[in-house]
Amino acid sequence: MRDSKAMRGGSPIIVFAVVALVLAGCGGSEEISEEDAEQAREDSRSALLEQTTDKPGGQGFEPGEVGGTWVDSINNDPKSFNTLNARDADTGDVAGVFYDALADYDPNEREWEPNVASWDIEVDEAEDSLRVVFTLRDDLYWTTPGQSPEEGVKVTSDDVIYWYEEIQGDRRLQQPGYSQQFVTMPDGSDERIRVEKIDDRRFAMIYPRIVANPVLSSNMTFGPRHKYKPAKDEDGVEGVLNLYSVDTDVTTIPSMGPYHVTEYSPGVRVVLERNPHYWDTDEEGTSYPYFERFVYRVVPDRNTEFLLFQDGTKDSYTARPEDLEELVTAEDKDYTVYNGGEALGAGFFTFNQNPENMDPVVQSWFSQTEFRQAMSSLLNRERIARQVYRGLAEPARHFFARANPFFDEDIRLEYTFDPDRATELLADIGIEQDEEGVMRDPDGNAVEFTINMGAENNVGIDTANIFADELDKVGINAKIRPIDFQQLVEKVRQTYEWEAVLLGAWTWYWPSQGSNVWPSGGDFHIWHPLQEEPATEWEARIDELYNEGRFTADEARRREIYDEYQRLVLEQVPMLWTVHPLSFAGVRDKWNNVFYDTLNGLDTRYLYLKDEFR
Amino acid sequence: MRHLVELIQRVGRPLYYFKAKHPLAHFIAARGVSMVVILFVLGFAVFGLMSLTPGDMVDNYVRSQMLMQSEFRQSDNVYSEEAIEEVKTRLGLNLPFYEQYFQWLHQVFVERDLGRSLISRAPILFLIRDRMVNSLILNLISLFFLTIISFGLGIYFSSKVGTPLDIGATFTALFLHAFPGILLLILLQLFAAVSGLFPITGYPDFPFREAPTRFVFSYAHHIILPLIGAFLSGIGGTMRMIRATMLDQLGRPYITSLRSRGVPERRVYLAHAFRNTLNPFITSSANLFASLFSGSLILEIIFSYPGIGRLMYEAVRQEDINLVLANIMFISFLILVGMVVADILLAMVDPRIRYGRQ
Repeated sequence: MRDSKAMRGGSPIIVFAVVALVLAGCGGSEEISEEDAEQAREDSRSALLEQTTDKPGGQGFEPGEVGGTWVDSINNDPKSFNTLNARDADTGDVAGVFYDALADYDPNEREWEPNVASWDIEVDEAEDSLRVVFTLRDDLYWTTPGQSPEEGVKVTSDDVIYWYEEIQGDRRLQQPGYSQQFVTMPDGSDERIRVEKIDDRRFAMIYPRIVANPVLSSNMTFGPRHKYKPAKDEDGVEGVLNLYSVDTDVTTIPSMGPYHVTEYSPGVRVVLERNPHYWDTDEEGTSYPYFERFVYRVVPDRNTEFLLFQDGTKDSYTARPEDLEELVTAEDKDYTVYNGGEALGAGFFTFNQNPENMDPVVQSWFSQTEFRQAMSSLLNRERIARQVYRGLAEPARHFFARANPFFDEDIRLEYTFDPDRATELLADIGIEQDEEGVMRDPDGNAVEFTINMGAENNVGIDTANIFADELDKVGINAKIRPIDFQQLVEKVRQTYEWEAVLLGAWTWYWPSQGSNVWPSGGDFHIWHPLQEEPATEWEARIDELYNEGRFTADEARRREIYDEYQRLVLEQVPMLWTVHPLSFAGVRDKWNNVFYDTLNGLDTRYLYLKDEFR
Repeated sequence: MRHLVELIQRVGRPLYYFKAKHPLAHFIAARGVSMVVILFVLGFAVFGLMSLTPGDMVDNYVRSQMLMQSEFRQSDNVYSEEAIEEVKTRLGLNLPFYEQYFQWLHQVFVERDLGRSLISRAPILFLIRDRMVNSLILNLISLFFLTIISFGLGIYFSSKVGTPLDIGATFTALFLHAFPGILLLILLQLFAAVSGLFPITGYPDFPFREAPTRFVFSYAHHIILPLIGAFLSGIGGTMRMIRATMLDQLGRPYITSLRSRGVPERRVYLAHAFRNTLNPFITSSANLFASLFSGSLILEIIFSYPGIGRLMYEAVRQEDINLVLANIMFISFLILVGMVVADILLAMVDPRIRYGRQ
């Protein structure tokens, strides 16, 4: 009884307190208009960006001096020191230091340049064949830590040929380079590119027909024949794959690359030491890289990586949007935050046009060009950039990545955010709002569909929610269903039971890449894979352009082909690209020669310690 | 039927005599047998559960290559269904899960080889060895400090029952017990970052063989915050249990009898009431050890501690079945050994327990 009295007495006090709090919360703040809020956001974004530094790479490196230790981190232990087993980025980073590619692509100039080999291309138009004659540098050696070139093994064309024939060319090893060894002939059959030894430094890749980009098809990294051949002769494919697993004494692994691995402590760190006999040197003859040691610490958590950068342990850090403010506003900081510009790739929505296992009504909407154009016009990319990426992203308006030699700034998406235009496009195909504001097709079906994405893709879920919100405003109901990523893959690749999906970014440097995505017969032609005959005219045209582009050597004609190709994709919008996030990297000020952008990344080869830190 | 009963009796008779003559040895042997059975069933269940998850490690690999990103400077990764099937066959993933399991058992117990990781192709023993030692060290140190300090505090606060100090301690214990462990670890790490008093990671950034003495001191410095995290997460529950058990014992008639006979209070606490709290504590410390092991994953990730939890997490994510199974078997074995040790200790400290009769 006493309790209930107390409660009766207490209730007005609680109500009063709540009202007072609400009033206090309401009072004192002035209402601001949407324009003012937008301006405030833009000011805040500009203020953040002003505190970052633009220093794009690809030029301006000055000669440095050898010394110092560069500390970086990887999120997972390397799974192997054998590049053939490198399935994740961390393993790829570590296992990749032993080898160098024949050619390198300069994304700034958008052209190939010699790396460990130079080349001559011999075209025989009469025979419709082509030879690429590679010449290896004369100063390449397989060495282990502490070995001089004389104690090591010289790199010869036998290494490249063995790798091409017996490693890449062995189908059982499942190497991505395997499919690269074949060219589709005019009759549709596949013929292999042959390799022929000329002498110890020269070899030729012989193409059965003229191709547009032979250096791309011929380019490869390769390992030491004197190690891989005995392993394969003794134990076959298993012997090759078991070579250089993580229990190997790392000091026995030969390298022709910029580093030797000198220590691996599981779960703790990987230590690389510069290869003093590396072929690539500055103008004063000093081999790159300049730092003596490169330490990869194994740090599984991104937040811990961030703290390690802040406390000075790590030398560089790729910032997430949420880290940027804290990074640039820190006091007495001994690092600079570089703005690398837009990422090359962008996530995308796509709609299922495959009749198999698909509701025919929904499939009929998605198969209409106007519907997809309307969807693109309802995708508010600016809002996604603002709300999901805190303003640190740019709307995606191009098909080709900026690094692509056929990228053209002026060939851009026409169907940007414009709800009025979207409703007009939908009206053109008979989809209109009813009296209750619900968008219905000519048969009276309410337009609604489900968008799937990976459940762990938080950014994707936020992006899809914004898209669904804009669709809702015009009367289209889109349901967001994050699902297990493996299930998503099964739906997309096997069962085709999906309506719309949001997937991560794909980036290709070359228009001829994406051979299983863009041609209508591709197994990853995601919106309607494995078509026996192109289902639509525009897909038939894409097939023609894609194939013609791959085998057209004339540069001007190729540009025409790829211009049309880009325009067609942007007109048909089979994929709705979202935004390109901006990239930021923090680097300690003790290093000289720091340049950073999304085309070149942070090239650590050129970094050297400033005098005061020696 | 009569023959069957006779047969069972004939087989069981030596066991019965063994049990009667050596109850503790019989108990340990029985625990050993049940441990083997549990491990066998556990392995079976792990293989079964892994086979129920959508896809396998080959699908995972293809997925990551095809959906996440394409290599910039190489041509496409094109995977045909035949190629995928070929790899699955090579790895034995196309077999029913029980066949895969029996193959694994044959490899481990007949060929005496833990095998290689399906992903990295490194020997499992190499991958597990150092990490298992690191995890054992961390968890045994945690268990040691938890035991000592929670006993001390539990006994002390049971003597101060009802005082403001006891109320404060109970509140703190409840607070720590309810506080999310992951948040506590993050806060401790932030404290390290802001104060600069402790390292951000929980393990030295160089290996033992590089400088053993320096490593020991560095390890002691690095391990403080992770230990505090494990300690604070566990102390609330353990201390409350000991305090409650002590209070229960102190309320028993035998304590009143001891006090009425003029036995000093210190002796009442330490020689009588305390001794009887050991019983539930030993039982629960085996569980505590198990929970420390399974709970150390978050700690290992946040503090970059190279323990078995991280390895296990990655192996499960990548569906590296060989590694998952070896990890689970090792961890389960250690936990079961901990439980058997707890039972033996119980028999030693509590004369009321007679194995074989109860």
